Amino acid sequence: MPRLHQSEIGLDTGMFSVHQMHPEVALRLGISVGLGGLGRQGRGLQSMITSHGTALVVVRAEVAYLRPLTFFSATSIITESHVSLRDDGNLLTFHIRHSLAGEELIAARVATRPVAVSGGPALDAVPAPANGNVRALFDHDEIVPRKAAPTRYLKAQVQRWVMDAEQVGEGTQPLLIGRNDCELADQWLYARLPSLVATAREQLLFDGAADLSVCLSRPITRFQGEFFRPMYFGDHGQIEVKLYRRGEQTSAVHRVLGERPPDGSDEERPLCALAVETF
Amino acid sequence: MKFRFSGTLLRFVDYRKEIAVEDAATVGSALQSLVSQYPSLRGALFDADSKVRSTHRIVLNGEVLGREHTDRALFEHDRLEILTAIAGG
Repeated sequence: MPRLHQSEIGLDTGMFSVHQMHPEVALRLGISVGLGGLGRQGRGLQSMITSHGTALVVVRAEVAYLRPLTFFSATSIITESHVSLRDDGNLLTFHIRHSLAGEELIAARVATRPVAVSGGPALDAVPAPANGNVRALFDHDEIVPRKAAPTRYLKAQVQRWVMDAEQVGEGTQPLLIGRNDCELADQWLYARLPSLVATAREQLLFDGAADLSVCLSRPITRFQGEFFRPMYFGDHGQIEVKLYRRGEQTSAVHRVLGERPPDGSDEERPLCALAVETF
Repeated sequence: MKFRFSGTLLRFVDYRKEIAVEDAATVGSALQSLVSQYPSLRGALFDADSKVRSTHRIVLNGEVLGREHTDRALFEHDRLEILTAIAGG
């Protein structure tokens, strides 16, 4: 049984919309509990970076809302997290569960890629599998086979899903990565992705796509995001939003594009992340 | 010539996205001029052997240069970008 980390989390109104806990909060709390637990076991992220030269970069994040939870549901919830390391050392995943009275309400997963930091003050790094010292920090039952932990699959999933869905709206919104959207090294923070794309989608609705109000009147049932390239503090990007309807389900598909290359066009902006909100 | 900055190195150059350097004949001399102007950049940009860290890419007018190509000549309207692959924050 993988080692489980658990904390009681008091609830405040800022964690919630009228419908549910914000996806960003569900992710942040989960990672916070997971890293706190690892730290208590002498395998915290700080020592991984400073002693073993290994940091983590998020490649995928997802949140699934399983049962209703609002601010008025309780004064606190239990957040649990455990980790798994892929046997090739290329993926460390945090498995997160937010629950109340033993009932799982929100499930989240954050998949990270180990990177080797250069040792410089910028925390610059290159992708590299977890080295032997880092692997030794994980128990046998925390190691999972490669096939059980694919790195990315959202692009293919979206392509399949939209094939028989009706596109009902689209738009492009500018994006500026501010410092509060970033982590320690001024690289964008994975957990901000749900909030950044939600704001882009909401702008589309306020611009007059009134028939898309379903995205505001219903809770999100699932958020999925995958990261392909980093963005940094001060980058000017774009978010392309496309809304699709299939039966009763509405989904917003977001392509987050990075800075336009010098002397380049908008078409040359790199894809930095893909995100899907499902309502 | 001009340097163009983004990413994790931006804080070491006072958050200036473009920095002009005059009278630099080569990429190497432009880099030295830059770190003289922004001393805290030196440790972030260079490793212990005073080579550009392998985590950064030097791009001259869109062409990625190897770390050993710092002797490449520069001209007035050249643009040098320093890109960081990824940060481990």
